Formats: sequence, structure tokens, C-alpha cells
Amino acid sequence: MIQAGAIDCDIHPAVPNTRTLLPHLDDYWREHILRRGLERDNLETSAYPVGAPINARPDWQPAAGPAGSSLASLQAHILDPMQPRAAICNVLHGAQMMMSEDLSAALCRAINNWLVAEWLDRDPRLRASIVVPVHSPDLAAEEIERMAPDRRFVQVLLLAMTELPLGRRQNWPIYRAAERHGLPVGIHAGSSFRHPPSAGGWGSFYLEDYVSYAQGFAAALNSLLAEGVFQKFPDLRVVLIESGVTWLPANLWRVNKTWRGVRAEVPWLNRLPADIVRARVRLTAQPFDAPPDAAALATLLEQLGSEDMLLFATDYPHWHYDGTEALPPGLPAGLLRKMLVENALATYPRLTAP
Amino acid sequence: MSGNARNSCDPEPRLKASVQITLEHEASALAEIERRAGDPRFAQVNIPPRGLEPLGRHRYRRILAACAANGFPVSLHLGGSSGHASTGGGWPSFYHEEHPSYVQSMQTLVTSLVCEGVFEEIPDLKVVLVEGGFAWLPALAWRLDKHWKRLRAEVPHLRRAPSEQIREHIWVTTQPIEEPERPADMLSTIEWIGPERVMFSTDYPHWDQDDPRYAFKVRLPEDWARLIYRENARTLYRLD
Amino acid sequence: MSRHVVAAVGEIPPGGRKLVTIRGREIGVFNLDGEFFALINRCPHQGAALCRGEIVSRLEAPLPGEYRLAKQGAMLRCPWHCWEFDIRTGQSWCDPNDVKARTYNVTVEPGGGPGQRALRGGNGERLGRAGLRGNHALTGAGRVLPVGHHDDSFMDA
Repeated sequence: MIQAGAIDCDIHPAVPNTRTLLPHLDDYWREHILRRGLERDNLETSAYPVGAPINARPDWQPAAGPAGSSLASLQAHILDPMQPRAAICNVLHGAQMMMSEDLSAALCRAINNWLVAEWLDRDPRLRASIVVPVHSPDLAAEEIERMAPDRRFVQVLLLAMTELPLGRRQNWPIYRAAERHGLPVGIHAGSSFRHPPSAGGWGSFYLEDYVSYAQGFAAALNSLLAEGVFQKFPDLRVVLIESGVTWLPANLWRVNKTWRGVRAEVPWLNRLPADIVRARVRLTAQPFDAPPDAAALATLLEQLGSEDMLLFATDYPHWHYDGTEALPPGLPAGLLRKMLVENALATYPRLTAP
Repeated sequence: MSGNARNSCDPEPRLKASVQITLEHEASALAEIERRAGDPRFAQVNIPPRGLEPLGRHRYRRILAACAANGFPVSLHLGGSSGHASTGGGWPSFYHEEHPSYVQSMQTLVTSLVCEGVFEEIPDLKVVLVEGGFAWLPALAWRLDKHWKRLRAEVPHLRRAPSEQIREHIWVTTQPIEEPERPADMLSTIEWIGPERVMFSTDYPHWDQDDPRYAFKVRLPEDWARLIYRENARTLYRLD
Repeated sequence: MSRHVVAAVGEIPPGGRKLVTIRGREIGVFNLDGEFFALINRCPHQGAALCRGEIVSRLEAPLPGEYRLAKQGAMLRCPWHCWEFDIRTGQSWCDPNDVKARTYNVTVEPGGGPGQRALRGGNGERLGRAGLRGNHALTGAGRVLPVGHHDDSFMDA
């Protein structure tokens, strides 16, 4: 059982259907959507198919609508029994990745408006990430500017695999805006499916897809490092959300080694990549792809090399655990305390100074 | 190909060759595998991991079955040019990203071979991962196990845990060897993979090759060293 | 402490190098703009012949895209894995405090025949696990200077 006052860094309110968003769209885009009949399409992202068991814990299904679409259910399942000090809403939705950049931006604005009206205004424990059109950095930055004055937005939400590697300079307007407002960039598992998960091609099963999100994170992190995002934006923090965590140490070893050989190609990368990651990158610990035994887990935590990196999350309503066992077993008490509260407070400045 | 064996293996019998095949032309691939079967100069069949589709897809199954039936392990040696971007987030700018992305193609193929049930269908299939490092393999196995449990209705053909299949069917070669921040972590990594599945490789003559004297920054237990530097390959490739 | 003449000054022009062998140990002597430096010909990473690597400039960038070619010809790039080492200090670019190539002092002294000057280097430190201990020297044809201690324990650990 999680003690009261923890900070849940990843919950997923779901847009029940596109009609719900109509009142939150501006007139032009409401007309556009109605004329095309888009309100009949729920625009779920294929990265999180509604029917996949991992994405909807059976006892967290509301009476109607997709899992995560009911505030009352969220309160009954998480907020009231667990009594978190705060829970951060990360909405995953097709709006983030639509082909039309303007339509994508319009729907993201509507989602953020809906988040304020239907969630943040109705439960003071809730915080949220700003949903942005991930393929349109300028429009994304505009949306960050629009929402940043509301201090209940504590983060900007991106996806691990989109059109361009996340470090690319085209994406920098997002980082510039996020840094200016003290907003970490949360990179969530998922893809906009412009590319297969690696040069190895498209798999057959959702299981393959879901497993591949870890390698998507590795590539995204390598891109941020190689392009010098951490140097260019010295106050920017990055949170890897729903990554699985345990892929990280081996990836750091690999990147450290590559750096020692070819760092002259990216001369701005002037510190050991692993050190940069430990200073600037945080990870939510749900799911936690733990090794099967306690000794291996202990070794792995040592390899992570920092107690500051892990953030507690339930990943509600995704199904990674049953009952109230939201923490991987075997974590040392000191780390747990930091994970549950302190690390989140250090990561999200807006949680302490609302 | 024949030049491979004639030019290298004939004058220097310590050299063994890999059978090169064209994965996208099944008939010619099958013919080449059968033509080389029983030729002691050929140790394995090589397939580049950056293919059009992940290797577990059904369209490649007959080729994999032919490899196993003819006693050839399959080596997935880094390479190929599928046309797909090298990362799931698109084409990276720098070799600094490209080099680690080789690992990601390997991960895709291991994931695919496991999830498609290839190892259950072809129990004799042996797969060697070449030039992709290996320290990433345990975490991938843990991840596969965890999410297979939740999503197994989608892959009812999988009867055994992914980690068991990996442990049984997959060998790794060491280069480019990972260099953990704490050198002793190399030992836990090898333990998690299984020392009987790790084989030393230099990658001669590439720039990122490993020297057998210095590649490991930690002393290997003697029995592990014997396996990794010699016995595992002797057994797998039936070199005696 | 031992000291050895390793070369006549004119043998190593600016930007040039000479590999010498002293008691079975190879050492590279480099001329950077008239100053001489010596490094062991063994990379602390995997033992490659470091001093046969390319002499490269220090490429730096305070920020992405702000390229700066600093200290022309000041670095030695290992021929195997491209790790870069400062020829003056033996420090690696990436881990200057922890990964270093062993250095030796070199001085220019009058010597040889009339009007000639000679390069002398020396070393008074212990060797690593190769097992040699005690004094050894840069040999050339004569006199030697004492040198300070430089650690290459990365390899020997």
C-alpha cells in the first residue's frame, strides 16, 4: 500500500469520444470537424489500442466509455484510496500526431481546454501535461505559451517515436518554450508510426510494438544527447514516462563507449553521457521491467547509479499490476521515499510553487 | 558464396565462412543453404538484421527451417539496408546515434523471433547475434516476459516464457563489447545471459574491434573464459 | 631515475614524431611547435599503438553548431577506437582525470657532436603489470633526465 501524500507521475485520463471535445474547440475547427464527420471517429492512438489488456485493467473499467474516461472512477480507484498529494494527467490521443498540422494543433488545444474544465477544475489533486502537436514544433511552442500561465500544467508531453528524432533542431522551439516556463519535457512511450520501431521493420503483434517502446526511448535519449539539447537548454529536464526503466544502464554503457570514440563528431557533447542523463533525465517506474530475482534487482539499481532518477507512477488505468501493488517489490526504503515524493518535487518545480 | 570459401578458407583452414543468402528470394536462399550443407568450410548462414520485415515473420520461416535442418546456426550480423529509418523516431543526424541504433535492429529481431513462435516451431534453430554487443539482452528478456504475461492472449502460440526461449536459442558475440561503468557489472551481465551463450569476437578489421587481451575490463572466471574464448564456439559450430 | 638521449633535435620537425624503443618499451616523441613531448606507445584503453595514431586538432563546441578548431595538432587519436589524447599531458579528452597515457619528460640539451643538441627523456617510475620495476630509461645514445610519475592504472587495474 502506498502511503498517503505520494506523487503519481503518470495517469491517463482518456477523451471519451471526439464529441466531448466539440465545446472545447474554437468555432472554425468545430465546423471543420463536423463537416468532415470526424466527431464520429474517436481518434485513439494505435500505440494504446483500447482493447489491449495492458491498457485497461479489468477492475478499472468504468461502466461506460474507455478506461480512464471517468473522473469519478479515477477518484474511486486511485485518488481516494491512495490519497496522493498530486497526480499528473498525461492524455494520449491521436490529436498529438495527426497528419494535418493545423488540425492536430486545434485538437490539442481542445484537449487542454477539456483537461482544465473536466479534470483540473474538478479535483485539486490533479496536475497535467500540456498536450501538443508533436510534429509541429512552432505550433507546439504556441500551445505551451498559451497553457503555461496555468500552473497546474507541470510538463510538456511528447512521444518517444515521431517523425524526427527528438533531439533534431527543428524540435528546439518546444524545448525553448518548456525551459522558459520551468516545464520538464515528458517523453511518453508510444509512436506516431511514421517509422517502424527500428530499421528491422514492422512486427506483427502489439506485444512486439509495446516491447519496442523501450528501444524507442533509447533512440530518443541518444538523439537528445547527440544533438546537444542538454547543452543548448541547460535548465531543461526530461522525464521518460512508461519506459520500463531497466533497459537504461546497458544503453548508457553503450552510449558512453560510442562517445569516447566519436565524440569529435558532436563536440558540444562535452560530458560523459551517463552523467548528463543522471543529472537531467528522470524515469517513471511504471512499468518496471524488473529482473526475476532480488539480487539482480539490487545490481540493476546500483547500475542506474542514482536514487534521484525514479518517479512513482500508477500508469492508471494501464494494467501493470493488480490490487494496490503499484511498486515493484524489493526496492530499498530510502529509494522508495525519494521515488514517492522527493524526486517528483525536485523534477517538477510547479508542484512546490503552484 | 564460393569465393568466400575458396579465397579464405582453402588457403587458411582455421578460417570458416558464413553462407550468404538473399533473404528476399526464398528459392535461391534455400538452394544456397542446401548447396553448402555439409561443407565443413561453412559454419553458419548469415542474415543481415536490417531487413524489410523482422525475421520472425512467416515469409522467412522456410529459410530459417532450412538453416536448422542443415545444421547451420543463423548469424545476424549487423548490416542490411531495409530502407527503414535506423530508429523508430526517424533518421538520426550522427554516427553517434547510428552506432547504438544497430542494437535496436537486433532487439527488433529477437523480439520478432520470440513473439512469432519461431523457436517453438523450429526447436533446433540457433541464432547468433553478431556485432551488436550484448549487455542489452537481459533487460529485453525481462521486458518480454513481463508484457507477454499480460498480452499472451495475442500470441497463444507462445507456450514458454520469452526469457527461456532466448536463453536456449540465442548466442551473442562480444564485440563491440560494452564497457560498464563498474567493470564488475560485466560479470553479472554474462551471468544473466548465461556464460555458455557468449562468444568472443574481434570484428577484425573494423575501427571498433576488440582485442582479446584487453576487451574485458574485468577478470573472467577461468571456466567462463574457456567457454567464451573457445568452447562455446567449438560446440556451436562443431569445429572438432 | 634514468635518462637517455633519444634523438637529435633536427630529426623531429614540428608536427613530427619519432618512435623509440627503450628496454623493450616503445615511446613516441612528438614535436609540437618546437616543444617536445613523449608518450608511451600504448593506449590505456585496449593497448593499441597509440603513438602511431593520427595527430589531430582539438575539436570543440561550446554549444551545438558553434564549431571551434582549438589547438591545432595537439591531440593524438588512437588508431583503434579513436580515443583522443592530449600530446602534452597524456590526458584523454573524454576522461582527462581518469584515463591518461603515460608521459615522459623530454628536454633539449647540448650534446652529440660540436654544435649539436640532443633530446633526452627519462623515467623513474614503476611499471604496471608487465612486471618491470625500478628504473628504466629512454635510450638513445647517452644521457638522461629524471621524470615525474604518471599513472596508467586504468589498464593495469
